[in-house]
Amino acid sequence: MSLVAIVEIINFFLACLAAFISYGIMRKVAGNLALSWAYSFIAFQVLALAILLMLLYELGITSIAGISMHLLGNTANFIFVILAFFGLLRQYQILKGLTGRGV
Amino acid sequence: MTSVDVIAIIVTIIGLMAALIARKTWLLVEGDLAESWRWILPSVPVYATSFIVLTVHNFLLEYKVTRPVVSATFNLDLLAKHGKFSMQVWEPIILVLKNIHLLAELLFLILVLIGLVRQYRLFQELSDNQEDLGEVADE
Repeated sequence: MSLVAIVEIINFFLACLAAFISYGIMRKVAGNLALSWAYSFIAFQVLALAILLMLLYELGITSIAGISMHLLGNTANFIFVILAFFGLLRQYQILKGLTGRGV
Repeated sequence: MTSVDVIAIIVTIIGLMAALIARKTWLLVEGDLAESWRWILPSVPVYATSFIVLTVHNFLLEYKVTRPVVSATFNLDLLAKHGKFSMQVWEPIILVLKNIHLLAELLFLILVLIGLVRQYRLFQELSDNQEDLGEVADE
């Protein structure tokens, strides 16, 4: 097994762990803050999926249903970054409203 | 430029925009919450950088060579016993870039996890305090 595949496996487990912690935080908070953590929870699951797709590519599976694994992986990363962006934006808006300070 | 490259560039740009929002959020908060955001803040540009490296890697793949970049052959003569030692290096930059992308992703996940664990502990404390206050109010 190559170094790339080993690091991909570690990254996959770390992304899953990040999703679990986000879920834990989501359960501790309420309202709009919980919604912003829901974005984070889904985002880390999508990131774990993206890493899993790249791991499969490293293990020799180059495409699924005729779609290249690189395209699928990058699309999953795209969805992750969009969710992370809106999660961060929502948290910023909530904290801005709570603190009454605009930067 | 393929659709894979275009998506990677878009992911990089959105990642950098997310880093800007993370910085703005960090400037808003104080105390323990600021401490946790301090770990999450650098993770976002690290993620965007890992995608810049991936884009460069994909770009360089188009120029990959089909023969060794460096080829060296050494003749050894140890007390009249002849031997030959040859060494070949294949596309070192492309291989290193792929590894850098993965290690940057690993660093991103470690930074995010530290930040998330700190935020979880903070929210756990707040939740416990709220429960204690509720019990006191009931009594």
